[in-house]
Amino acid sequence: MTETIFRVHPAINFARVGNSPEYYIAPETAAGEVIDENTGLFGGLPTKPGTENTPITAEDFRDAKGQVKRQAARFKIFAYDQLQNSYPSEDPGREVKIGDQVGGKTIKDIIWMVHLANKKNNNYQIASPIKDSSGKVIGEEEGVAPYENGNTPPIRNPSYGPELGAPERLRKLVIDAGPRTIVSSAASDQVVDFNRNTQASHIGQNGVVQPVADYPISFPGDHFENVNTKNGTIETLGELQIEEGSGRLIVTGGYGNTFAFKDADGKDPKLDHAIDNDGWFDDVSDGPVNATVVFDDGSTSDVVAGWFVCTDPSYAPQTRNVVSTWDDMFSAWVEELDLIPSLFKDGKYQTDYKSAFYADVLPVFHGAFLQRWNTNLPGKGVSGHNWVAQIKPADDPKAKIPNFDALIRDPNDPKQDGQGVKMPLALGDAQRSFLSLSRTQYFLLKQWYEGQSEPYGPVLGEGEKLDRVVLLNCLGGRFSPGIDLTFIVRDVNLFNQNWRGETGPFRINLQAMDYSTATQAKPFLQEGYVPLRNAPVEPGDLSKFMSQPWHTDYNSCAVHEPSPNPEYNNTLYWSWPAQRPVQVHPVGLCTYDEENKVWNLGGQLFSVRGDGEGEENLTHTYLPQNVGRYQNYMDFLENWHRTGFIIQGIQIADEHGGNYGQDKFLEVASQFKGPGDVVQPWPTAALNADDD
Amino acid sequence: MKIKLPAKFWLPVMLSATLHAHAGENSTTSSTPSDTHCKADASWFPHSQTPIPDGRDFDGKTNCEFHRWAWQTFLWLTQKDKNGEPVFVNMQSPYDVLGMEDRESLQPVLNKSQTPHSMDEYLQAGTEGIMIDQNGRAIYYNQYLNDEFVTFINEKKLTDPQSVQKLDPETEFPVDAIELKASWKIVEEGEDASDFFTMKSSVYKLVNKNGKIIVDNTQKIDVTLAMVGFHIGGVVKGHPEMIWATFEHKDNAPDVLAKGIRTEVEPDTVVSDKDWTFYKAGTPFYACNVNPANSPSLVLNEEQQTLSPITQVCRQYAYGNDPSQTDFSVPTNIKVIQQLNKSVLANLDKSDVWSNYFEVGAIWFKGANRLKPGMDLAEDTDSNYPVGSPKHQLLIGSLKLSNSTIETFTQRANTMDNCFRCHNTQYRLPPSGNTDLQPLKATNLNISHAFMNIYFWSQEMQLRDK
Repeated sequence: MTETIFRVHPAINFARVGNSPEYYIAPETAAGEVIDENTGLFGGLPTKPGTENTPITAEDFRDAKGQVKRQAARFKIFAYDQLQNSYPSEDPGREVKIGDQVGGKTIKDIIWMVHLANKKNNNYQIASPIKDSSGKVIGEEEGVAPYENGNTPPIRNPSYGPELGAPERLRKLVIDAGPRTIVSSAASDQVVDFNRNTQASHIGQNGVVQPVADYPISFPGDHFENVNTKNGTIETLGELQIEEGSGRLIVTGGYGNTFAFKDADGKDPKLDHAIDNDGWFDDVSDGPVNATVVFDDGSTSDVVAGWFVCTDPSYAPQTRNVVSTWDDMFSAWVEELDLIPSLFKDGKYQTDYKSAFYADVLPVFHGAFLQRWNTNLPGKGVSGHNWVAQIKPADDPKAKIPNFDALIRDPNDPKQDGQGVKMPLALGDAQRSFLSLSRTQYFLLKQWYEGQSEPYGPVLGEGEKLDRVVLLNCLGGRFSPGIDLTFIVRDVNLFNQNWRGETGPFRINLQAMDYSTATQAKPFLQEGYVPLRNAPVEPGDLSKFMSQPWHTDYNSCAVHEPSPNPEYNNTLYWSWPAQRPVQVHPVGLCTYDEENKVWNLGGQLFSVRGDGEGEENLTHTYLPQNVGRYQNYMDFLENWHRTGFIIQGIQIADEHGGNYGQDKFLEVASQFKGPGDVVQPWPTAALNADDD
Repeated sequence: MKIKLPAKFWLPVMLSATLHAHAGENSTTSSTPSDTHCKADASWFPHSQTPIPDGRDFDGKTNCEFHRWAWQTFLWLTQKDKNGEPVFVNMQSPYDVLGMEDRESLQPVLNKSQTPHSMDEYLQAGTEGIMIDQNGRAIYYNQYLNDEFVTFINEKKLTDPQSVQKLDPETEFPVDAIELKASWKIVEEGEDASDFFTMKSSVYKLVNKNGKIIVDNTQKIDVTLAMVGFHIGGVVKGHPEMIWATFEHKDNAPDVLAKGIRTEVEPDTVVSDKDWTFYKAGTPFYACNVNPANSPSLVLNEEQQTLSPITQVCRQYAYGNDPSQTDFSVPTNIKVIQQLNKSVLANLDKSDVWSNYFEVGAIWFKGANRLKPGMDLAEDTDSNYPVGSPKHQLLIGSLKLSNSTIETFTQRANTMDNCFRCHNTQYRLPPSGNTDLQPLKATNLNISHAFMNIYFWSQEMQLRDK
């Protein structure tokens, strides 16, 4: 028997910014999956703090002052008695806490260490120009392609020097809060802040917390004047706390603030690009979550680390992305890292593999049918989605869907990338006009269609479930760059590929940190991970591939034409409606049917709809390609926190002692006062002016 | 001084003039249709004697011939029958074919007399849009099928869903099968509708229910209706996909003169400085064809039976073509429609109410017998053939054809900007989402929405009867 292995789960977890000091816990159930057959409650909702798994209600999105609560990431430690040789693990593992017996010893305490940084300003641009043979820019490319063949895209903030590894760039352009520690035995009111004034500390030899007095903590205010103070400033990246009663780690992130600074030539920053805006910091971050288990005999065990990511708010947590971050990452692991040889080996999917209806098939259909709550799908689309969402495992697939190939876009056929008539009806990325399922998703769905399926698939351990569920709730498929994580999840260099044995799958290939070498004299963090290279991953290396600041991308990603846009196309499609609702059904537009004691669905408004009517409204436009957004990015920076949230009707209490019903997903807690522009049913089409 | 002769005298005079003069606005021809000079056929006039088109006698070699079929069919359908009513008025509806009389979901009411059926549709195809006229009244729609269509349905037992499920997907509608869709405006008291075809009929009342505006099929309102739009879809030899033609009243709406895929018209451009039936003078382009179907701004006044906001209708593409498109025979198509409209209208008596209607356009497949099951028709080309191949182009004619009163809200987006985008041969899922129904497999007959409706309705009827 091997020594017990400890791992942090989820392998990656997500906090989300809010402008309130209060928080709720990141969801531990998956959007699009019914978690309560009696009430029809769908998963994906965050958890009320202080509870094991009580989902939040409509009243929990904002605090008493009306501010957006942050989402905190909750990390747990699981013990495994066997080395892992397959996925799912032969040993399902079990969560351990202080006082638990492991291998004849009692856990006395757990020391947690998290290191957060934001490296967005010292990274490559996400949108890089595509040039023709004469060097003329003919478009923008996003994704991994610009990193191929030894190339890299242009860098952000070039006025500060051309080398990402140059000390001045590292010192000024990286927000590095450094490492912090907290122990599970700490009081629940202890808060360890990732700010300038809280001393850095790390887990030293023999599980002893060591201060890192000389750590080169770096915040924008140390180097620059904030030239836009209307959107706050950045003095912290978040906090560590311990969950009362469980000893689990709670990590909160930033407040949605920004910090604007002049370039090296003294020029003011602009805010005019959807993704790459030099001279702007936001306060998202990411970094490793390490832990050491301390036993009553004084011995210690290191814990396989997890990773913390802080990103945009989740405005529609129960809407499943038809392609999620998990689907993209899982596909990469299946195809390139030998995760499930019975599913994929020797470069081929195995046709005798049975897909699992409830895990591999129905969630795709549920993802489709939930889109209506964040889009302007017409009735035909809604009824079609409702149809597939009601398919049962005992149904004959061919009787329900007469022609699979005509319905679902084949990700293996590049010709279909430009065929808007197929599903999913959404935009693709990386020079694919339309969204496709991941290859693994597609294969598993097709297996079902060909009769190769069973209702339930392999059983995951509780820790493995957390790894999966968290990523299922994040956006995939369209990483341009995305909301939560981006195209780097398709790059296996991001991960510790030696997953069999102690580590387990889906772990970030983290850079070992020797904090004893930290000194104020030089930056501690370096350039770190670069896609398609094998440099290990440092704090800040995941979120640095996201929009700078996140607000601009969120604002602009309502509807677009595809990119590349097929010659004949003018129709507008949604970017990522499950994460960034476009058209919504506000709860206030529902009407009550006194006779039947039910609520009727009301009309639609844009989620981002500003205040006032007509031309006075800052979201107003005559161009269909620009609807549902502030026409000036600065205005969204000032108003992002007023956007409403989408939640299932049963979580919205009404004044009649009931609720709005499980059959609706309604917008609540919007602070916008305007009706905004009129929502028209899809399809809408672009007019002559250029889209941004 | 000109002396206006009664029609029965006037037309022969004109014909005579044509035969000898070879030219003039009112010229006709009985020779082979020409894309250079597309003219009406002499045999169509007088309108009271327009012969029924024979789809078997169809060459399909010129663009003109397709439009001539459209116009001849229009004239034949609108000539008076022995009861003094236009021929189409007493054709069967899809409801008649199924013998449906009391289905709540379908709102059928059949007048046993020869008066037309109650207008029961108000939502536009494709989206949920309600077109609202300048008086605040909804535009209503109904469908008709000719005898060839109905006979085919009955002979193949296609009102039995099980028969449809066993049907050979390659089965085609017979030559001369026709389906029609008409759009109607309610004539208000005192309103001058003298240049419209009007008829007394009834419409169902609109009511607010469960947060929606719906048809209440228990309440009828007697009204006078004026025809404003007319779709004609019909099969000719070699074209089982049907020629899809559409006609409108001349005063419906102004043309936008859109160019290219992105229209190239500034949003604040005033489309017309005069009032049209469905357009208020001075309305800018951005306010045209706005569909508030899902917006809280759409409101019904039940008592007045009026809706708001009023739809300002603009015709996005005159003749159903992008005038800046120079390939795919588009310039020819525009010219042919213009010539033929001129020719036909010159030969109709000005007192003939149908002289106030014109062909907007028509669309069909380039080449014969290219229809097959499973075509999505999302593009104008057949991707199975490379650019440059004679078969690369699949659709021809009015490639962006919409009727401004029937497809008001879907004129611009390429996903719905011509008839075939929705009239295709793909499979269909039950439109109601009812899981007790069976989907419709991909068949050639799916080109007809009447056929598809009959398939799903017949299943609903079977379930109800169980």
